[in-house]
Amino acid sequence: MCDSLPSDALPATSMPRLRPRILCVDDEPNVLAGLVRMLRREFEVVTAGDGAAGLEVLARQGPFIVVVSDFMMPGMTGVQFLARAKQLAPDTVRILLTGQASLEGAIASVNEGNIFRFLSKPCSREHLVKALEDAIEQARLVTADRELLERKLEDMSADLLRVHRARLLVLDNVSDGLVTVGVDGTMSSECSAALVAWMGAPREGDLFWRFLARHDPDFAASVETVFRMLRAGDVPLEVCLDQLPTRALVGSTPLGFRYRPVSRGGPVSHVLVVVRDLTPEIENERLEADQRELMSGISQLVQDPAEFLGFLKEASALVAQIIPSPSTVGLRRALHTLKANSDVMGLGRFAVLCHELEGRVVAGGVVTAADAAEVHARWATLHDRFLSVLRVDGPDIAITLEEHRALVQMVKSGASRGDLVSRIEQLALTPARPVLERFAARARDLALQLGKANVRVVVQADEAVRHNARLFAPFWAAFVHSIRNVVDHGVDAERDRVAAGKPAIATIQLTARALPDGLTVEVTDDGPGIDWAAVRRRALQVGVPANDRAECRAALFFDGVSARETVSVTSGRGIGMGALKVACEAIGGEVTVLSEAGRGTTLLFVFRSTPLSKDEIAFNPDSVRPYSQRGPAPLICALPAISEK
Amino acid sequence: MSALGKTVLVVDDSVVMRKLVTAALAGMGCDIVEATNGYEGIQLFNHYDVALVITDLVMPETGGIELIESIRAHASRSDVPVIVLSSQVAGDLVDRAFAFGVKACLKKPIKRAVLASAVAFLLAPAREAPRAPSPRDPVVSLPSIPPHEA
Repeated sequence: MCDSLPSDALPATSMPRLRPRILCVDDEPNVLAGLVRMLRREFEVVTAGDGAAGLEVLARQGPFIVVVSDFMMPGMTGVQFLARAKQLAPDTVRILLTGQASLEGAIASVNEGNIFRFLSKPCSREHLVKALEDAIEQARLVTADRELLERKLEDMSADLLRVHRARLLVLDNVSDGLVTVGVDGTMSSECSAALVAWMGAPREGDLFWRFLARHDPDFAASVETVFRMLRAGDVPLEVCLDQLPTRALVGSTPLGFRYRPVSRGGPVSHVLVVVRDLTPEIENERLEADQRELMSGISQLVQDPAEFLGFLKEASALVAQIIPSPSTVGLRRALHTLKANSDVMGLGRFAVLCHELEGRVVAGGVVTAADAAEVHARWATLHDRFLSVLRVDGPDIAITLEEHRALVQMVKSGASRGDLVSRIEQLALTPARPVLERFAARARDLALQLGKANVRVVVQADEAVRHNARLFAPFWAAFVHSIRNVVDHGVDAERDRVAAGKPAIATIQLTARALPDGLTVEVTDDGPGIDWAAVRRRALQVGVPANDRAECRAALFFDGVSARETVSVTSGRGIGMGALKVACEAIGGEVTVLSEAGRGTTLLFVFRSTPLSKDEIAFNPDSVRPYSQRGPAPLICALPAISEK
Repeated sequence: MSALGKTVLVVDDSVVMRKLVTAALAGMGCDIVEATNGYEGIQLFNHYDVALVITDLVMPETGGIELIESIRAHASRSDVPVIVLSSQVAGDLVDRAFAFGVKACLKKPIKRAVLASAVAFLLAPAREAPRAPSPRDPVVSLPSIPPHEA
């Protein structure tokens, strides 16, 4: 019973003569085996492990109707192999199978005009079989074409055939939109599937700017001007290409345009237009803008916490007034105030949102439910983010069971009154651990946003490490900068880590320790370390001294300020480090950077009850003792001491 | 020899723009004369032996089109090449400029190298009398323009 047999078990040799012969070339035996498995039912598959072997097989075992080659192979690349294959067997249709549907590869093949189709890896069986069937059809067409032409035109040269074939080339498998435009502005009707999906199919000989004008008239007008110059030839080609506009809006899709000159031996006759969907890029820009908005809000908060908190409160009340409604004086006023205040507070994106809405309301428009929802959602996000940074102070005192036991033990064992008072005093302070946990969560979010999957964020802080949250609030607000920096620059790529003999997963550690007379906060990574040479270069660029390591360390915390945005010397280490240093020093702390090339970086904040001398800044891990062993010296960050009367 | 010793007339009502153009052409060895509107431009054009004009279109009093029109009506130097450098590179004014045979209509802001490249091309002697370069030709250093990827 045939029905009961798995189809694979059907005799493969039942119809050997009827199956078209194809040659597959790949340096990966597994890929070849997969191709044979996928295709053996429809085709007779012969394989070769590299370009040289492929040419040998082609010469000795041909003819083949189709040759499928991998792109990346040792020795000869797929493009080189297929070019040679073309000389050996011009009738065999060539397909390039590539893991990287790269523009360069596409251009190389367009220019050499000898590849029928690109397929990107991994490629489904259906897709591959369809492409092969198309290729076979193509081979038949070309053969028929050629026979016809040969009969009619005796001097039909192989070159002309090649041009004909190049024109038939349709890049169905690259994600870019591709089309060639003559320097006279006429379009070729052949273009990639992506372009047709975005802008419709051009007709042969369509003028490029007329084609564009259906979608974006301003863009089209600029293009037309450039083609006028291109046709006249009065300015160099590179000037014309530079002048072509690069961003268009088609429907609601932002498209990016690039232009490459194409020459077929002689002077440039065509321009290859490469179109890309910019949506993901713009989404990234938006995330970046969000991040900058949060940063600048936090800078404001550090500079004047009272004012910023006042703003948050007032703005929340104003946001509550933004409800779906027709234009009213109250609504306009609320939007206007919100816009102006958010702008002053550095919340640029929120200000723009209010500005747009205000413009519409002033023009007599209404605030729709969707508008109001957007304002509320955006504000809630901002507000929560600021609060998550600020919420370091609470009215309740929570103590752990362990702490409670320790206290009971102290009383039972007759500890001195002074020791007991100082211990109980400490309980009024806030544990550092939950604060660091919040920052760790933020670091994980950021890592996700930046696409860094190979990060583990750990918090190390004894429950007993406590601090005066009110005093530390501005420091924690600025501490966000160090989180941003460590995620941005303290995590090296998995590949680099493995090459350097480090574990694939990077570790970021946030640590709080008690000192005999204070506490330390550390941000440690096991990343690439600071590139001091780069810091030095940047510092010299903005005129900050950086002659020795100490000056470089200082430069790391220098924020140069331009009219538009905060520019840091340490673009190598991100922005806001200056603000962080100021906030740290404002509450009597010292900040130090320890970094070892290839091993990692530690940002160390030391808060002591007595000012540090320069020599003490160098961090000595031996000086760190658990909180429980600390002496009676009061913390600078402690609440006012209870006087012993 | 290309731009060396030749005079370029730069017409723009923005002093910043004129400085930027001057900076872009610095090092080419040409002399630059500046005008703030079309009328001043015509005066300077009549006074100097101008080899190339770079002009804005929209300026107070007399604009770029009037300047170009006057140049095209000049008795002996009506064929001096003109580059329009404007924030608008499409529309009625641009059409009129092209109708008067301007060589290029470039958009502000523009990269220095791109402007320098266009100017060097238009001032190149090859455009006047094509000839093979002679080894005795003096070497003139032009601003470096990245080679074109053909």
